[in-house]
Amino acid sequence: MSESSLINGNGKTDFVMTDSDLFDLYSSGGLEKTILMFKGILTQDILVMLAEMLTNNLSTDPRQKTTKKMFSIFVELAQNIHRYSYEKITVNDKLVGAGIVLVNEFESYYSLISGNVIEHKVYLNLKKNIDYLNSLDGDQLKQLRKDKLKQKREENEKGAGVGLIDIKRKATSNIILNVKKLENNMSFVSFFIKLDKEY
Amino acid sequence: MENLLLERSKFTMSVDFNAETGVLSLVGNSYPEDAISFFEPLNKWMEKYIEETKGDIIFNVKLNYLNSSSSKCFMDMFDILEDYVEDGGKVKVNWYYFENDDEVMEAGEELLEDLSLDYELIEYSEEE
Repeated sequence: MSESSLINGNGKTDFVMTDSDLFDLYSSGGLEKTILMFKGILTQDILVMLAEMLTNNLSTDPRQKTTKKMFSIFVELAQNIHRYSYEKITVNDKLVGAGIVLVNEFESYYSLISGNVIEHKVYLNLKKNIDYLNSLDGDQLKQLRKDKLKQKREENEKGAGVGLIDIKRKATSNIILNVKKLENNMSFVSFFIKLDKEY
Repeated sequence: MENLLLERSKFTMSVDFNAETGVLSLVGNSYPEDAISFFEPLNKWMEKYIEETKGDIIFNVKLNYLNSSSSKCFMDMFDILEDYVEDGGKVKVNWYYFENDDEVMEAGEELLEDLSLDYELIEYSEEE
């Protein structure tokens, strides 16, 4: 009998996440080292704490290239959840998005993963945008960013529309966008970003 | 007119806009929850300073990190300064970056290189 089944006890309960689900999550992957995992409401305070924790936990110099890129990608991913997650909760009179963020370390690279719920039609636009960004080279991304910074803001637009461009420019490979369709025209979307260690 | 002073936080810059000297300084990190709201009073102060004093401006920016929304807000600020220069104002932008910090250096360069503003990218190594 494996340890996991002992932990699991008598099987499923009424909880959304069972003991065995939690153990699967805890032990998933195997070779990588989890630097950070958070699920919940991404208030500004939590976001800042996680971003600082993340860079403090790395064995590298916080001034180093990889660490700076990591910080930057993390903040953009987390602020996307904060702003655009469909699951929002009111904290101090402000609507704040909820989601999940996960950072793993491998031998030669880090992976940054974020996930949250959005309307499926929003996902379709996001997919188009990501496919487009993934098709551009470095110079094209730089030009697109400049154009976006010069453009007038759309009404109620809090961001600059350049967060995803910045993520793509700092990441080592394409942005991977996954989707799991849920009920009521909703979707759970996740970003997977790979960042090579630079020395 | 009054000076504009704000203390820095973990995610917002210190602000020191001096109406007598025309030296405007921003130092720290910039990734506020709502960048537009953070920058709005800064822009307003700048516009008022230009209108009331028509004085020279030295704009010092010394950052560890700025997020994408803050980049956009910096562009808005530089637009104000560019308009002022077109109207005959004198402006110099000093964009500081810590040694080897390509991220902050490039962020500044990409914001400023296509504008008509007089600017300098300045590497520093001493922590202050």
